[in-house]
Amino acid sequence: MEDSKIIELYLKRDESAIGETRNKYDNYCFAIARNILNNQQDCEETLSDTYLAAWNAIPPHHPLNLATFIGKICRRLSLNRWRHLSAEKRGGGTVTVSIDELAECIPDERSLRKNLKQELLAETIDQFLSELKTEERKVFVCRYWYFDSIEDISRRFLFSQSKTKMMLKRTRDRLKDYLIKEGVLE
Amino acid sequence: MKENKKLTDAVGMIADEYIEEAHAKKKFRFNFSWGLVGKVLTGVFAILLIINIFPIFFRSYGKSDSTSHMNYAAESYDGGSNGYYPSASYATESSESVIYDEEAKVNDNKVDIKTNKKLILTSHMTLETQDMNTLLDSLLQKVSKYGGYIQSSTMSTSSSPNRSYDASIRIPAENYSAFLEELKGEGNTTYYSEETKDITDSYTDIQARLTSLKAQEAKVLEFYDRAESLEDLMSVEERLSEIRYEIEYYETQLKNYDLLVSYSTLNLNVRETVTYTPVNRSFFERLWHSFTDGWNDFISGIEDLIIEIVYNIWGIILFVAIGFGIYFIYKKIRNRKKTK
Repeated sequence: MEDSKIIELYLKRDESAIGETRNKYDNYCFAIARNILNNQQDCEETLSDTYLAAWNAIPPHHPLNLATFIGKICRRLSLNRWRHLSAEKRGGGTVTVSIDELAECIPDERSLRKNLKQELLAETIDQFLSELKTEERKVFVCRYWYFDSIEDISRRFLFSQSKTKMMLKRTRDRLKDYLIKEGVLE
Repeated sequence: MKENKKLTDAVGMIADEYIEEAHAKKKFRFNFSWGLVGKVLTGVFAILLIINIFPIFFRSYGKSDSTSHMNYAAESYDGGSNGYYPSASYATESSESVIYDEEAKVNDNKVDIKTNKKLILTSHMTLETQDMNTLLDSLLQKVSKYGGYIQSSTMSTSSSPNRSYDASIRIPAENYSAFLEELKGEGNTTYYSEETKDITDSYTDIQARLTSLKAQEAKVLEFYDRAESLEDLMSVEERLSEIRYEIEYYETQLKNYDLLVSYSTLNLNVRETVTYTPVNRSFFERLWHSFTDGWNDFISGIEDLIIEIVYNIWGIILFVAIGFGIYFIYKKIRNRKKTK
């Protein structure tokens, strides 16, 4: 079923919308959740929460792109669950390493500009990404949005693992410089 | 574990198009086996590498205006896009005309799309000059004449005529074309590109959110008037302050957007040079130019090499003296052994 029709079902409060979303995006969401949680049961629970959250969010939201909308919810919920599990010393997956790498840019929230809104930070990163080469941007998003492993990214883009690591390292360094230049970091 | 939650979440909020772009790539599988084609490509690549590496030796001692840079500059000036953004809202010089054509078409239908569009214009320009000081004076005058300002600037400290100047200049959007035309006449433009980011969607989205928040504020104020218990009053006040905080935040964001739209940005790179890079040359002109440039770079490289040697002369003398000393001692020892 087309995305626009699924969204229409949500807007009409037709419960079959959840089933249709599940049919179409279950694998996609499962891949996102698995990269973060690395546990079948946790992934399945997160996926159920994702569909429920989508049901509650549409309306009032009217997503232009259902795939990224559902993906964003799934990523956020998976990360929340992962944080909860990390506090209990469970869970793991690629996310730990990816987040550590990302934290190289801003290791401490205190170094961020005071009262900096999440949206503004996202917008600055958005702007930075728009200035990257397409390939660098895709690799960055695969690693830090989808939390794909280095092996997966290398296989997908036909790079060696060392090239992928080096590309990510350079992008992170440039992101750090960019954030300083834009005054996001104090 | 050193997670920065704010940063991780901010990455989660980046534009849908990037997520889609990477997602689309996930579906793509391409298996390439290195056969004869791979070997041929490797051979061609190796030859190209040798051709390109050889002049680097001389270039490293010579001027920064290398032949390859000139070709690149000429290619870019011919209207070549940088190729990073084939589909998004970025417009190079060549696609600019398409935008204006569309606007003209819409204007015919009595719909003024230009006033409704929120576009952030950013340009990149490389300019060559034979007199850096005069150009900088003139640049500052023009910036103040058109009501703009210099956001940041860097001046290289190397000696004339190899100085370079980089600046990020903000000019009111309505004066931008006039400013650019005047600036182009100040030197030799070797590179120019324009990027236009359309923020109309996010702008109208924020406007809609603001309208809805203001409606909410009015409703909450009604409840505030009707609240009977202290508990009700507290909860209504809490919600009211949340709404007002959000309204303030979105209003600031709209102001920021307005500022970005009303001022265009020019990232300018000025290079001081002795001879201007010619553009739109024929093959033989380029060939001759490469030959003469190669020769100039070679001479310049030799000059710099001599300067390097003179610069290190004391170290060289010391090493030579030590070398001679060791040689003489060795010779003396050998003679003594022979006489014994």
